[in-house]
Amino acid sequence: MSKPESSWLLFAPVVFNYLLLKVGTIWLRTYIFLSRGGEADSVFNSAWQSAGRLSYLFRQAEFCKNPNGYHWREMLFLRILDEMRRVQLTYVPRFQIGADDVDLLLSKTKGPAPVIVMTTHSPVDATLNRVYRQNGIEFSVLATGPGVIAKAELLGFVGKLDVTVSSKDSLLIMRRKLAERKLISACVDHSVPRAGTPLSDVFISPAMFELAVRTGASVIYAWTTVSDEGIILLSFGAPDDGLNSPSAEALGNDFIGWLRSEQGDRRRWRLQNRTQRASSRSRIFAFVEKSALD
Amino acid sequence: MNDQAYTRGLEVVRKLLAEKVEEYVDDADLLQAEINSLAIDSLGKLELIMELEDAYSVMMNETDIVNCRTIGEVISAMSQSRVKT
Repeated sequence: MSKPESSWLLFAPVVFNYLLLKVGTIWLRTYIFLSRGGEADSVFNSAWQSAGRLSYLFRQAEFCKNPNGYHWREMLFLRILDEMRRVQLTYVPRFQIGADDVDLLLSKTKGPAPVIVMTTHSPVDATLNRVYRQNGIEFSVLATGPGVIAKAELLGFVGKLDVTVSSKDSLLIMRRKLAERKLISACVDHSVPRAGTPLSDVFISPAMFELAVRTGASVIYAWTTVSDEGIILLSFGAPDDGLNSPSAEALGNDFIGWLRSEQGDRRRWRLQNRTQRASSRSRIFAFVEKSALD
Repeated sequence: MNDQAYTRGLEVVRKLLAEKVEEYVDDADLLQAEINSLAIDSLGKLELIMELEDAYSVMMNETDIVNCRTIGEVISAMSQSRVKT
């Protein structure tokens, strides 16, 4: 079989999925437009349940424009909020977090060392900002651009967000913020399209872990997802107690272990090698290879 | 700044960045090298600054560093900060 034909066979199902997703988008936009006269809470709940029944339209989102390998339900959640914003309906999403998780966050932030919260990108990751704000924690968010502010507002954050934009100087800037006792919240993952395939590889960067080691900052792991009921679920964790004076690499691998074992994350995370020239460019049709958990 | 202060900083830079600064055989050329033209990322820059801070026994404000364009300017800022402290 010639190469062009094999490429087409590889991409054909993805194109079909993409078309299905377009139909889903039109359906969702129309549904919310027609419901715009109602209360925001009931419009959201109604759209969430109805779209969930048409899951075959929205599951395709996992295979299109999804280099980070998000779950389709989380992507749908953000899309409903976005469509509601289009028709000027403001909905503040509900979230749940366990008392133990809040205790962990508070005990670390009141401790002697500054704190860095490590998490991975998700459609609802910016909900963490609401948790920090509700608990009176001064914080700064590491982000690739100002889009993080719009996302935080869409997810119900109100107020001014302190954003450190990624650059060659961002670790130096965050070092100063840690010295000022600000919590740093960072998504430490990125994806790299695999050449010649629709796949992406996902990596955890060791840079923030290195910053934590060098500055003596405490590390907290965070996870965000969406429940079947349309509620954002948040959880925090701490590095394994067995890690004594851990290196950045050991912390990064411990975080990957935590994602897999505690959160059931099936993505094939790898710790980025310092010599890898990783690119965070996203790419249409890219999706992430997932592995079955043992 | 005296030559000794520059030499100490350049030793740190050459040791840490190794092959990334190999092309700058002459110290004067390395002092003129633009930091952003070197193949170092955010973590590499942090490591460089922290190693230089150790060498000069100073703790720099990041705003002083961000404004530095060349290796020479960074070393000069470190050395001057040491004089102040």
